[in-house]
Amino acid sequence: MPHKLDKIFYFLTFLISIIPIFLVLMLFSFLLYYSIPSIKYNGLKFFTSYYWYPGQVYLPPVNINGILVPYGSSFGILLFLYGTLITSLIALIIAFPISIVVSLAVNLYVNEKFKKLIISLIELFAAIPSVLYGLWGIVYLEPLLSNFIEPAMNKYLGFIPFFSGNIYSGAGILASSIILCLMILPIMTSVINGSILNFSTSIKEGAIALGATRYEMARLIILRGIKIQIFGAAMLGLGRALGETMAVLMVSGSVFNIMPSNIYSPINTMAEALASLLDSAFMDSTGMNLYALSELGLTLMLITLAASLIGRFIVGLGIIRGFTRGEEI
Amino acid sequence: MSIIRFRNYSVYTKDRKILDNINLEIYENNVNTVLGPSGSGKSTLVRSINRLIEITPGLKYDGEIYFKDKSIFEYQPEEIRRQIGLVFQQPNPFNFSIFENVAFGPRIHWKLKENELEEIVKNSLIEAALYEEVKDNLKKSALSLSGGQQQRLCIARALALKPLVIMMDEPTSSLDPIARNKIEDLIIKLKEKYTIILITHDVRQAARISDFIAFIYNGRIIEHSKAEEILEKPKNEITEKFLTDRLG
Amino acid sequence: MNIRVIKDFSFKLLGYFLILFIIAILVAITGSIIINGLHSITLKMLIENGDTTSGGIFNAIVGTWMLVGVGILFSVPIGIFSAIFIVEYGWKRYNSIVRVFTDVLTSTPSIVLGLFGYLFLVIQLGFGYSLLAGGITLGIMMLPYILRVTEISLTEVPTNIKEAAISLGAKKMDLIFRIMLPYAKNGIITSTILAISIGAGETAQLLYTAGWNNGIPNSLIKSQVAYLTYVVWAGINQPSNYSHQLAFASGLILIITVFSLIFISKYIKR
Repeated sequence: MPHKLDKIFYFLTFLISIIPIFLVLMLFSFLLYYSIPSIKYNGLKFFTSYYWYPGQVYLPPVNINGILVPYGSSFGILLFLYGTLITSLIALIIAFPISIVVSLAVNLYVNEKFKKLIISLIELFAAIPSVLYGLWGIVYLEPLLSNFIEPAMNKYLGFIPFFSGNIYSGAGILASSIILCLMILPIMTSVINGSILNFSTSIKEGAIALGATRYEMARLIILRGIKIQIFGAAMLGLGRALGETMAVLMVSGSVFNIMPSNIYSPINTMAEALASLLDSAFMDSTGMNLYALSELGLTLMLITLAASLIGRFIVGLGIIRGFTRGEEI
Repeated sequence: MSIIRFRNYSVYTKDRKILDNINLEIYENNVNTVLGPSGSGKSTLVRSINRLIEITPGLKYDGEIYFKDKSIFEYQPEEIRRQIGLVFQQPNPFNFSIFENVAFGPRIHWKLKENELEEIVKNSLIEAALYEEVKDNLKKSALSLSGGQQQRLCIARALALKPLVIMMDEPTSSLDPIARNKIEDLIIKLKEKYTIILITHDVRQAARISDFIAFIYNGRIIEHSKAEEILEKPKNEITEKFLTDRLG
Repeated sequence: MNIRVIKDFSFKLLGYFLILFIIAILVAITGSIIINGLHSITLKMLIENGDTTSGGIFNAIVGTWMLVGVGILFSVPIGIFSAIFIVEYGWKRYNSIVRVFTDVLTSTPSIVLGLFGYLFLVIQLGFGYSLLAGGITLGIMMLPYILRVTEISLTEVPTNIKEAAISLGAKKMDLIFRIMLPYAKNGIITSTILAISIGAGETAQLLYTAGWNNGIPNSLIKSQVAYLTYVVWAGINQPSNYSHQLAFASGLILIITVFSLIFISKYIKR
């Protein structure tokens, strides 16, 4: 005979454990529900147009194909989509080799005591609030880029089309990518470090005993052994970069309706567009601005989830513990 | 008088029998020893009595075990466990103070005033021959005690529930000889008031303190009789081989 | 010299260089915020309310803690009880479903959580920009983390300790409340502290759930809340020197808060 109190407790905790599931389902339903008018109205143009204009929300709305929208409004997210992908990819391209080399070097050449110190310092990176990355970006990184680094890049790398042309205020693709790179480095380093630690010591020692140098062991044995985990780490980093809002909002230049011409150009991303456009959307009595932003949010969520869940799945397979924002996964 | 009886009791996993058709009497106010090599099913036997195997995943059982002439499955499991205490092979005190370790059982079973609780804790520690060593440090963490003291604390923890039976699953196997002797002396003293079930693979220990010995091998009770009988002239050759191997 | 040894040596050099480079950037970021913060902060700022261009940041400090407090009150009980169910009662299939869903929550961009908070809490439930809307949105972000760490801590309670308690006749709830939770206490406390530090540094979720208040909110709902990260963002985007000072002062307080919480949690862990 089960005890009554135990039974009540069972159902209570069961109900509570449904809350996370419930929240996710609510999240999707709300985003989807609010997206539907926009999906109907904008169709595929939503993804193929880079022109986003909230419309004259103070003028009477106009009727287009039976749907009321603000006068002159246009909702195309191509610029934001491009900005999100290009900044995240550049961040990943820079962070990828750095995180691999750093986690290998820390494990191969640094003694135990310093190794712990270095890893916890790098993980401390992940704990810095993203507005503070943005703050540092505005005050130090942007002037540094526009005064020194970007002119130099223009001069020496200008033969590559993407690196030539006008230099702006420093806020733009390059600044956003660098900030994102700093933000995803700790996650990737932590996960890769974890999988190196997991990697069998006997194989490592065997390789050294066969006369391999540490570099050869790293390249031939360890890197091959943890290829999949490195891919997982990259996906986790990408997931974080795709969804990052505040830091990018502060250093991207937040441009609208002008596609960037080179790596120095100001840009806009999906996350920051969502953050910066939402308050003006409330002025729109037809609601279409809010619907379009919900569709933007849904799109962003799906892209981010794809990367993060692949990463979590892969990393989870190896039973590695890594950190993202101080969180064990 | 037997206080516990096994009738055709078996325990299985998916692919093998751990206990095979056990029929066994446990006699009141005696030291009932279950002797056998490791892996013979001794622990499963005691874990069956206090119904711990019901919460072990992957085990099935059939047959009956009677406690005071009533099937153990007719009792609430918590009540069986209160009346039949279990002391484990590795001392496993909780990460609380000495006092709280002993008070744990009484607290969850009875509504007691603080002074009644103190009385129970004190008496249990005295009965477990630990009180003199810890009386000034009852608030200290139980983990600060030595292995032997920890094991006697676990005995006191079981005694605090005023059980009828105390089962000890190789209680001295992780202890040094001095700590072991203390526990053996304690067992002999405890049998005046309690029924003891002792699990061991140590023939010398069985010889020192048992009143009855059941020899178990591959999940079967091979022989069960008075300690002197089984030790001096075992009827079964497996028993005999085991005894001579161990006694040299 | 052997080419293989040269390769090894250059790799080592590159590794050292990158390690130092990364640490240098970390020091530069935190150092610049701390130094600028120390130059900007005044006692007056700490005790006066303000609006990101004038006055102080007292309202933002208090608001941050209130929001984080609501987030913790929301996420810690739900996280702990869910973890108890998963560890003590849950069957494999159900547990992995919960796991996937909490992973989805963790992976959701904070601005999307903010949008959800706006649509669900601010509009649908009618909380308006408020402590409850902002705090719960923070709590939704903290929840998967608290749940996961509690789950790990509960799983790590040794079997022999659980069996000892059961053998003494402990019922399920005695086992959970008197044994498992006390044993998992450190893990739960550390995760709570880290969740506080993550929550205190968040911005995007709060933009459209907490709003801004030049004073202290006087109600759980329909009363907007100020918070520190907003001062950093809004302050640095305004032209006046004093706004910048407010931004850096808030940054200093944020970084001190976050780092000290992390150190405390590391200390408790040991």
